[in-house]
Amino acid sequence: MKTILLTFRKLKKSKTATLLGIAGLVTGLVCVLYIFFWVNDETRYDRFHKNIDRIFVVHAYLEGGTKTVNFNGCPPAVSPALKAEYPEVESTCRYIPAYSKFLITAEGKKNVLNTAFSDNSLFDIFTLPFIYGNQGDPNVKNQIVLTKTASAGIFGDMNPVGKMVRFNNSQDLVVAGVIDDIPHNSTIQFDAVLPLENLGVLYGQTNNNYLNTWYNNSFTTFGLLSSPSGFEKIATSITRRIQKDIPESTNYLRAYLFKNGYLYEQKHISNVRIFSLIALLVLFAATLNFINLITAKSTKQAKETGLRKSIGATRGNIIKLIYSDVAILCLLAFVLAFFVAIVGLPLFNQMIGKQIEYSALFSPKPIAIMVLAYLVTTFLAGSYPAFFLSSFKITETLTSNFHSVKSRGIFRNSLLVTIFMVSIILLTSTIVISKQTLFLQKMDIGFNKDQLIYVNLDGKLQEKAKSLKEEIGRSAGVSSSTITDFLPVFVGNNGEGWGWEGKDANFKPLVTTCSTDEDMIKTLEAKLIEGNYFSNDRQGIVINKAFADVIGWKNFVGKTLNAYGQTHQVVGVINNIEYNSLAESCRPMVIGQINEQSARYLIIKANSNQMDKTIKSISKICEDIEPDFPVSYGFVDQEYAKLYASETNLKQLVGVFSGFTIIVLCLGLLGVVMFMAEQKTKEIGVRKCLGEQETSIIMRLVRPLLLSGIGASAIAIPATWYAMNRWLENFANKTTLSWWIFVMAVLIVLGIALLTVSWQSWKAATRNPVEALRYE
Amino acid sequence: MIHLNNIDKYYDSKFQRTFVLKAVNLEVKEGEFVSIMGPSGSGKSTLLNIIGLLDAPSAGEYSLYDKSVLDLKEKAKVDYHRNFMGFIFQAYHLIEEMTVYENIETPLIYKGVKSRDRQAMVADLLDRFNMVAKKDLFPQQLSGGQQQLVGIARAIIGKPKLLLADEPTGNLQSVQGEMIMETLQQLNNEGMTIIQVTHNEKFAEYGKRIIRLEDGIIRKDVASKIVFSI
Repeated sequence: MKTILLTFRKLKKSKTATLLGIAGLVTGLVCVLYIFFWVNDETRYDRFHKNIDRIFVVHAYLEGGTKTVNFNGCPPAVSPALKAEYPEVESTCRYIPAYSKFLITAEGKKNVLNTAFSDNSLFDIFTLPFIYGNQGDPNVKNQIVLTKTASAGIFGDMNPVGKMVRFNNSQDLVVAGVIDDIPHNSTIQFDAVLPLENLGVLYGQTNNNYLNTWYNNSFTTFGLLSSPSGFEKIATSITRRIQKDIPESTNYLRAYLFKNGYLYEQKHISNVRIFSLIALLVLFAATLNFINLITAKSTKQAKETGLRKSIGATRGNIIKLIYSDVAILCLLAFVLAFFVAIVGLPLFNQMIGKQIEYSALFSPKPIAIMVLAYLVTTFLAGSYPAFFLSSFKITETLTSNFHSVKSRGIFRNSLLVTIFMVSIILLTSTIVISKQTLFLQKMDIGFNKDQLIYVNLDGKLQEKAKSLKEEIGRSAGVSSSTITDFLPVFVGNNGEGWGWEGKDANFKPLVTTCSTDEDMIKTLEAKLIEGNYFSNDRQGIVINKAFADVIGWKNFVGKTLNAYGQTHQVVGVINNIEYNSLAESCRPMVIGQINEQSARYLIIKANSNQMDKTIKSISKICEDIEPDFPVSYGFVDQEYAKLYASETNLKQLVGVFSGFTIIVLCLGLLGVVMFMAEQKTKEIGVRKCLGEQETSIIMRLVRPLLLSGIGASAIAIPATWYAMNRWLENFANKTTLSWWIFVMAVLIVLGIALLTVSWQSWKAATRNPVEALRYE
Repeated sequence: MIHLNNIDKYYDSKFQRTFVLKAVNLEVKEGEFVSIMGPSGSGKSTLLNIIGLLDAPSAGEYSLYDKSVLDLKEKAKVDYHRNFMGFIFQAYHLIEEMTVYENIETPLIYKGVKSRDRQAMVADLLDRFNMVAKKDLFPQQLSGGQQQLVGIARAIIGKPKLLLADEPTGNLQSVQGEMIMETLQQLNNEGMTIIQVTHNEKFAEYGKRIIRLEDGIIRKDVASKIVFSI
């Protein structure tokens, strides 16, 4: 108790320095806490499933093209085969993620829900607890399971089990159960889930053969092991399973543990590592800063220690005293940081696009880590002053002109260099990541994504696509439109069955296929390299440049390609249209002429500034043709933004954290300059008496800071250059690491540093020399 | 009680050895009040620090009660500081964050005295120095003389046999200085051995014996006039 009291009195005495130190530590800690929350959230992805250690995923990959292509899913026949052939496998499940929204009508309400399709065993494998009802009978096709929110949107608070809903305006389903809402950090996400057998209705299939095929890699396949040790056997023996039934297939299987899916398969672990490192650096910098500021008054403190020794304190007493002093200040900082972190959490969530909940903070693991961080910080922050101060000779400290600062130069410089370094590294990374994001945003993607509206062709809109197109073409503000089976950013249909004259029989590249009507070039503003686009008079296919490069001919018009037993005449070659992933270079693509059954989107080029009006008139036309479905439309540029969403996210995160370190840096610099000014009061006084100018005195105070900043950049620049180069290697389309990025980052950090210290230096330099010299 | 034999204190620099104290012989008996005088840099404070075990001599012998106290272990030294001697400083060296009461109490805490006993002892001393009303004030709220009184109280609370004072009046005006000296004299009359370092001829006279140091050598060691006049 006594020590707490004394610490607070001390705090009151040397307010500015201690408060700066605490503020720096709080800022650092808040940053570390947020990184910790973020890392915690990332690493807890999918961990809420009780069977997490026993769930595995099987996916297919293709070899035969220029490089291996990975699929998220595998053929639907794999799932029953696994269950039958491996006694270690308790259960398996095929799952089609909620790629699209479907209309669910009930109680006179129209609801558009993210709908997944799955085997009934989904609920055996994963922890998706039911509020009402259950998963239903595995043999019943016409049923649906809703999430709590989705159910509330249709039925309100009542129990909907047994009620009917109408799916896609074509089929009646019974509500079998309602599950609790799925946590945000889950790979499996949907509003509603239907038995897989309903997929057939969607694709116009009457039998269930499509669920027994060894082709079609679109089925995400999960398995539940009876014990985690069974995984090894599956992982080693599954590779050539498809070949047992289809010997000529070039698709192979691979299994991984579901718990590794998010972090390792999707490579989120690298960001987790990067940010953990940042957290350590920031904590280190903030602690150094804290030590520096609490020892700023070490002359006085050394005297006190000397005195205490003379009245009978042992070295142990002194060390204990200093540690408890630091422990109390640290505790104050930690409590404050915790409070600030909680208050700022909604803002942080908003900035990084996550939903971290308060409950995440109060579980045992984060609290244990916080306590550990507290102990480490206290130990680090206390050790230096404790051993430094208690090491002085008593007689030295008690003379009136004692200065304890001689040996602190190296310490203070290394502190400054460290904080400068972390700031420059983070700021440079922010700039590079922003530049890359901007590059992805602005790069030539083969078409003009601006002012493109798309309409989903639901219900009768599909069969009446042509008249819809004509109708919309007549309305004001629309310059052209095209019917397609894909959106330019996501094309899912592909296969390795394409052949051409002179092709090596073992070479089987994966080729994406899609179809449009003849107005695609005009609407998307895509560019033809060779020949023409197809039209009613000019039947044939168009290939993209990537495919043309793979085939390697000089010209293509008039030549033929064959696929799955059919021959197609090439009428033109278009420039690559980027799709699916910006990290990879554009893959081969074939565009064919669309038929009525496969029409899924109408993409419309708007030419007016009154987007609202245009959309209103489009909606009106759609409603007139198909009143049963609510009009669902979107913007292509927004869809495109999803392709680089993770980079945008990373930019936000690194930006936030570099902001934090720069605050720590400023607080640290402020403390250091105050301390230097105080320590040099006498020197400044003497120099002024001898006629030195104020500007020169200011330079005297600022120069060492600038030197540390420049020294820090000598380490920071190569380190960042290396790290960012490696990061950029992940992208096929990448920006350059220009020299100006580094210069700019260093200048910004040094500029902020200078601004921070200028006031203090000026104050020190303009002080009356008489006052300074009287100081003893 | 104190026996210094041939004490040297010197610092070696590259080419020469600088002596602060040279062949100092000194014997102090229990109950004495010794004033050490001399110009700046004559080695007065160093001598006092050596006696107070805050500094070690470069050569010579030093014994307290016929027991050598050179090469003592840290723990033994701390024991002497806790139980045998008290210090008073020119700059008072009170702990700024502590009240008068807490400053005086601190040595007792290190000594391991129980809380109730501490209260009684501090209260006694406050009473004796007429500072009861000031016990909750902080040092900077007191005058220099009062601060030094607190310094003395802190030095004697542990009932030391030896009180070492390094220019106890150096920062004080003469009236306050006299008050301090009278206090010291009174303590001496009660049997405490006191050694003080001072610049002030008048205050030196409060001692029963005056030692004059010059360039680290004892030039004079005489009984003071006041003793004669008694």
